[in-house]
Amino acid sequence: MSRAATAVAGPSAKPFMGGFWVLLRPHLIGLANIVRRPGKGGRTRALLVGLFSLVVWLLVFLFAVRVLQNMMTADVLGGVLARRFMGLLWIAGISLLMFSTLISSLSSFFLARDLDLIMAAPVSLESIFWARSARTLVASAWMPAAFLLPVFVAYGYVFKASAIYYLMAPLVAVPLLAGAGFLSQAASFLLVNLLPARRAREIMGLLAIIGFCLLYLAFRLMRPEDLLSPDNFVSAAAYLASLNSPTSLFNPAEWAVEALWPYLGGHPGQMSSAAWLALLWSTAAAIAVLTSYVAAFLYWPAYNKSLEGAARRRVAGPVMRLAAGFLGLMMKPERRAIVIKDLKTFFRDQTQWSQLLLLAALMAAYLYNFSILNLRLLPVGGDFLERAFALLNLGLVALVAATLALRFAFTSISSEGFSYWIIKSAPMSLRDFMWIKFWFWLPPIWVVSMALVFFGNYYLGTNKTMQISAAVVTAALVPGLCGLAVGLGARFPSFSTENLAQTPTGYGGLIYMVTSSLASISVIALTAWPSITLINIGGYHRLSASRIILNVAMILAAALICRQLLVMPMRQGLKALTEGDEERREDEENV
Amino acid sequence: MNSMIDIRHLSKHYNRHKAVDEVSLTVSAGEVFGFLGPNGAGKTTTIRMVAGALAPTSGEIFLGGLNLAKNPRDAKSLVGYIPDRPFLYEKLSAWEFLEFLADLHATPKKDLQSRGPAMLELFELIDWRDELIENFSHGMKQRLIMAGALLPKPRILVVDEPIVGLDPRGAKLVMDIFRHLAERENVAILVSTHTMSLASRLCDRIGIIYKGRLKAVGTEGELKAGAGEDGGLEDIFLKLTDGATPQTLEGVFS
Repeated sequence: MSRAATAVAGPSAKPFMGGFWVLLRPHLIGLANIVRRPGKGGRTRALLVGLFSLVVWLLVFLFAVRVLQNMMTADVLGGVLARRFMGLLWIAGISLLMFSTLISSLSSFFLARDLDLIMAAPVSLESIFWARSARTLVASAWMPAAFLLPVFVAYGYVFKASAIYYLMAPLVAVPLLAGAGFLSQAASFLLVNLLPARRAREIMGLLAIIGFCLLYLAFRLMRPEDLLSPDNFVSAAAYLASLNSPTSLFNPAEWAVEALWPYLGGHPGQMSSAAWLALLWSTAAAIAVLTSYVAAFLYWPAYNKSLEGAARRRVAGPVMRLAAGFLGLMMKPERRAIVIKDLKTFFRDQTQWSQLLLLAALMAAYLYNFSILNLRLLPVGGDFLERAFALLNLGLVALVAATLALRFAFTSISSEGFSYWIIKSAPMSLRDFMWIKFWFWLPPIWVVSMALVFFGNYYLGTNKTMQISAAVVTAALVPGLCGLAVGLGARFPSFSTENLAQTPTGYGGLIYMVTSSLASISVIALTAWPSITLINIGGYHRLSASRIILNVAMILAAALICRQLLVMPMRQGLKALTEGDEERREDEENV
Repeated sequence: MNSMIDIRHLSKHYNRHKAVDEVSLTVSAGEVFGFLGPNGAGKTTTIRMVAGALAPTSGEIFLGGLNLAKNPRDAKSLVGYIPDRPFLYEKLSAWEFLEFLADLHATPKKDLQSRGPAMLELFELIDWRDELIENFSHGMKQRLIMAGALLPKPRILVVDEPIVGLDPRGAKLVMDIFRHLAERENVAILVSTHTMSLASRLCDRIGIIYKGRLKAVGTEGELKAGAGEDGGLEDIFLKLTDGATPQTLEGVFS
């Protein structure tokens, strides 16, 4: 970092490395304290999260093994495909990392609450940059690294790699991911010099989601599953042949493949594996140094610009005023107050409403998949497959409803943030407050779920009885899933979160996903049997009395689960909100 | 006198720590009661319990004769609460925030239309009425909270550190408003602070809280007499709260 820039940033009283470690220490100590003093139920939480992660890793590993084994059934093309696939994996990993680093850099370098304190401290800007940079890199890289790990282990397993491969993979991953992360940090300094930090974060978040939606839709429309069938490899061969050009010298993802491939039994490329590895490390180091130079010139001015705040923004709201007038006719004032406030804050917060784009893309891809699935063309097993797919559709709709409820209904209590004191001291009951949150989110989630189940069955051409049964089950299950979300959201609130989208990734979110999955599977299983029986025999009048009683009991049991799913968590959530002042107070004190 | 705030044996425990321990006091209509204490003495905890934002471990709070635990809705409708930290809904404008509070407290629309702009004018926020709160400074947010708290014409005002973050002009305005509300509108005001000049100028009676316990209650004159101090309120405060004396400082820094 240049002397001039350091001088602008203020005196540097501590040597660089000393400052670096001093700045990282609070976070390291904080981590150590979490491990050493996990708090009430902390160990159980850690165990559950650990087990859940292990299951997810195992599933990703098994899926990757299956995909690679399928690829390898095609003699010549298998290896080429697997190699290409590895290149794509690296590209996906570094793209994800670059976007997440860009957004977390904006938070970490410009918006974090502790920056006032840090900037006023007698440490050099260089130390601040490197300490923040290290934190941002680790925070952004662990997720792509965690998902890439089982896939690369799957490569080793399928290709029967030696131990050196498992040593080489992290040596390749670290410079590749770090280089991408440093580039994103440099981009964030440039961006904040052009836009206010908050605005930049919102815009980048929106662009990331739009980009992801377009990529996802493009990927789905290409029907990559066809590649898993060896019969389709003839047409794929022509495609691959056109792609079989020499690897790009300017694509670091290809360097990573070149460095690893010899250890999976492939032929070395133009250079040895060690040379590719050296290229990766030297490039990462060069990018790191360049980024530190960019930081020396741009971080301090950008930081000051970020403090200038957003330009004054007038709020126009004719649509909102119309909605407010309409709601005013229908609701008590205190309920209307919460609903209008939630509507406004949701649509003014790009990090919130932009996720609707993601939802639209997922729905489009979901329905598209069913529209291309023509079960009638199958020579055998059409009826069985039709019912199986109708049940699968129901299961997937329940999963979509649960995910939506988790993202929006679960976080609706936490969305009050530090302003929760207004609700607590207002003349309204917390019970009312929770039910308003429930009714706010139930209609949209219910409508989306019903539309998905209806159109899914329509495209599948499902039997009328199955269609009605699926619609009734969805109509009854979704309120339960929504109630479970609001109840657990109240049981595990996070009022101090800076990013609401991260709230569902906590312990409460995990409990929600496990409970909602078990409940959905139980309800679908309990109602599937009576529906299929009815279709098979063509009417209940042909059933014996004992079978009718059994079927009715199963339906009643399913209804009871739906009811309990709604009522019990809401009660427990209300109790926790009423009594949960200690934790909240500690949260606020910590801030 | 008509007691609007009646706190009886109020306690709040965080595990084994007693943040508030058996505090009892009353505040009458038209009276400003100052709650003085060092940091961590239990002022904010008491204030939050009186505002209904925190449940007590034991004890009772009566607001306008209504038991806060048994009849929270009606009791809270009498109170305007001003916390020390101005956390607000950042994505609402100042006017929308007032509309929200008016609905929350079931304030009639015509009252909002007449009093709302007047409140914004009073707190010098009228030019900012349609701006998002995220663009406000700390002091502006604090003034907006005050405007919102006074909007529904509360009979009781519960205030935590009212002048933190305000400039001298803003601080004087707040003190003038509180005195006006107590003297002319008969509002009972419970205000916590560690600013001696504020307590001395504003409060009819003062309670000094230390380590969760109420050490003394009375007018400034009564407190002086009780403590046997000839100095100002600051000396009484330091005496009752074991504050550092020049001798202690000598011991530490020598």
